[in-house]
Amino acid sequence: MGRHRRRRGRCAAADPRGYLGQVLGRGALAVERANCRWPRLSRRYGRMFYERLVQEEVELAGVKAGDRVLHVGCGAFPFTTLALAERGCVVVGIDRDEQAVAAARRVVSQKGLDGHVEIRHGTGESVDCADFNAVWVSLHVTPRDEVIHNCLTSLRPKGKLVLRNVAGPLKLLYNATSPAAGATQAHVRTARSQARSNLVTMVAEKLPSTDKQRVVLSGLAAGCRGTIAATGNGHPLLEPLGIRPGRQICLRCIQKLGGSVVADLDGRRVAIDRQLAEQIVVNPVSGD
Amino acid sequence: MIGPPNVGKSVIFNRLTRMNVGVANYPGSTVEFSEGALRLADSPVKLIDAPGIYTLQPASEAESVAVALLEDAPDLVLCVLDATNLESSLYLLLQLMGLGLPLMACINRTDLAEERGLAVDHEYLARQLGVPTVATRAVTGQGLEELRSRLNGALSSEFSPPAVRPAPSWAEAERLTQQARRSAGRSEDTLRDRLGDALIRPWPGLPAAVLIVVLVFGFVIGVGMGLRRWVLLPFFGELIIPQLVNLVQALLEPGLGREVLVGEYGLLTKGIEWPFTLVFPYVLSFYAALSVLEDSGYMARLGALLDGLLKRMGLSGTAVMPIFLGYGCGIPALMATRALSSHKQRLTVCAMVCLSVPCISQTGAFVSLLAERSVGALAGVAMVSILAMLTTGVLASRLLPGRPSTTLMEIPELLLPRADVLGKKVWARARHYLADGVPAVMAGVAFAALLYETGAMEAVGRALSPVITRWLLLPEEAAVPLLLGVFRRELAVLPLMDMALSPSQLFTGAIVALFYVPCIAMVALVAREFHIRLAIVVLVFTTVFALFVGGLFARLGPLVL
Repeated sequence: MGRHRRRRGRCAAADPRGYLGQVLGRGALAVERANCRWPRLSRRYGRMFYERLVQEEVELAGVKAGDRVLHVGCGAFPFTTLALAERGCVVVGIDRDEQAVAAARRVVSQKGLDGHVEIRHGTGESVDCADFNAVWVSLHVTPRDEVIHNCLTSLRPKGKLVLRNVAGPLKLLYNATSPAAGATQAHVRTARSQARSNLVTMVAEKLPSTDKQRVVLSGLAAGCRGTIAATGNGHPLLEPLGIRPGRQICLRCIQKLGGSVVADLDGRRVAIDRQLAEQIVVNPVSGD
Repeated sequence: MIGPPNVGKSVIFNRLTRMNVGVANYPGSTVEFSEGALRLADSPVKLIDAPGIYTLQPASEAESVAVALLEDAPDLVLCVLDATNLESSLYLLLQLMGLGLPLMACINRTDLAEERGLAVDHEYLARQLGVPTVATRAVTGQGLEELRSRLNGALSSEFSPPAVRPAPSWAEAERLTQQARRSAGRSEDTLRDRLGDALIRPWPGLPAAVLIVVLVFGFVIGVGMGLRRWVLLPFFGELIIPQLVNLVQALLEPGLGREVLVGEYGLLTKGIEWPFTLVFPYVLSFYAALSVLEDSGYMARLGALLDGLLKRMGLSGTAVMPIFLGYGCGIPALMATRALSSHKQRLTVCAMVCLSVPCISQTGAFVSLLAERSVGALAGVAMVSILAMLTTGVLASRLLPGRPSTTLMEIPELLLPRADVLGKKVWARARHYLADGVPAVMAGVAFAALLYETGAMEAVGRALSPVITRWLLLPEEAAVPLLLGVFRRELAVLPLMDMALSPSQLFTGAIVALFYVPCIAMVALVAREFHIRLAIVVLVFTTVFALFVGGLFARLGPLVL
């Protein structure tokens, strides 16, 4: 587990996962320092864990050579940042830890990538993403929800946010981000990584600002109508029951105890699980 | 015959074949397929009613059955479309057209569509798609004669495979729907619609649900008791049984044969009294209530309301149906689990039904045993049963592997059930009890009579006495219900009636019976539907658990009762 880059502060002590994260983070820091010291190790380590993963992410996000990319949480040995630069992107890596920033700068100049990579000190919650075509967020970055919110808000339309999300046993160590997280601001796609079977890549593409008032279905008030914009991926009965993009939906009521959401589609009443309803994005129709 | 769930396929099937098959205004009422003979002008035809499917990508085991039926190359596929939800039915039709099978369509529920101010131009669809199409109203039988003659025509003419079509798309289904739709008067928000909506909202839906469940319970017990007291008991207890006893006593000399027939466990006394006067009334009243709940479309509303609660047990709203069916009989309940979307859900419901949901036969026996002696004990048994059911569900959802399932279900319209359809349905279920349940009870009684009269019973009672007298604090004779309970659930209860037990002993006996082995037919079905290993686990676990818990209650009971 020592392959992760670094601790990124503010882990709630009450959360056992946070504590584990801290321990792991220290381990990761040691590994990264070792990577900084022994270039041969770093080459093997990078090939082993990052090259194919980054390649997959680049393909999924549709990032091209020449694109401007921001990497939040680059760490002392910025593998992802370097891998992106090798694919022709102009990359800015940021980290909240000054020591890591200094170490990362040394690595970049050793590799002779000064013209393509810039390392800055900064945090994901405050950075402005408007200049970038795509933003990568590392697995360790916390507080995750705030970082996602800031990135999606400051990105330009069609800008992409690439998140590494956990699957399988790693869920015990990290909080997985729900695909619903950015659903009202972006079109979210997910894909299980082939290179690293315990990771899922999520790509959120920022929507044009005209769609800004989008909400998830369970966020509508009872009796309100909307046009379905996206349904998330999932249930085989969504389409046959009429829950398809472009259709009108009317929220009837939300059941107690985390129960289902009852909606009306062209006269047909459907009970939708709360989790499914949180992935259904609608454009509210005003006037009723 | 294929089509989306809850579109009236079974009604059409029954009308075409003049058979009695379960029909419900509830998705998933046909879980296996039904098969019936259909007499057309030219030749007799075998008609198969497949479980409802929305698309050809099955979402549950029941739906896979429907898809598998299509792979058997039928001579003709009759696709039943829903006039009120035309586009999703049309998508299914488009998918079916891609299979290259001879195809006919029938648009049902046109009456409900008209109520919403919609009409469907079936001739337009027939021209556009090249599939013969008929409009029907299955509940009244309108259009079925035409369907019959068109079926005959389609089967006797040579089939030419349709032209190759592009893969079906929702856009195409939507386009066809728009074009085939004709407006037919104004759509009115009927009282039925408003009531139907009110019953799904937490307020007033939840209090209404509590009221309805209490009413149903009261109806089942009250009507059952009334039937027993005023109709079945006078008829069997005072008219039939004494006559039979007199007849036997006149014809047979005292001896083993006579004792088996009219003795302590007489085949002609207890063997008739138990199934007909103690259980049958509740079977009738329960299925009457259940059929109303199903056909009115209320069951799905209950499922939606209780979804949050069911979710804690890893179940979705759709699981309400098999659980409720389980209060009637475990066998249809286990069959109905096929309509659930995940294996985990099926196992959870199976555990609940096997362990802690008493079937109506057993409930009737509980009422007969306890209601007159101690109402508190009856309420206690009901509480223990419900608590055990919830605990089983929560534990099963924690312990069984797999993800919790997500609810996504259609809520059918609230309809006033039709008396003739209801009557047929209750009769079909009652007949099932008379044909399968009663002979099993009588066989069990005959077995008990033989054991009793030959003295084997005493031996068994003595052998089991450490468990029964020491641990359960019951008399030795209580070995009888434990032996018989394996055959039928009510037989674990009824023999306790004539043992002059104290209220606390009655309660213990009832608790043991509640958790005891589900009947042998259910164990066999678990082996068939799931795995023989699971059936053995059910058999062993229920026995051990019932005896263990029974012993605990035997010690607690005297403190309370």
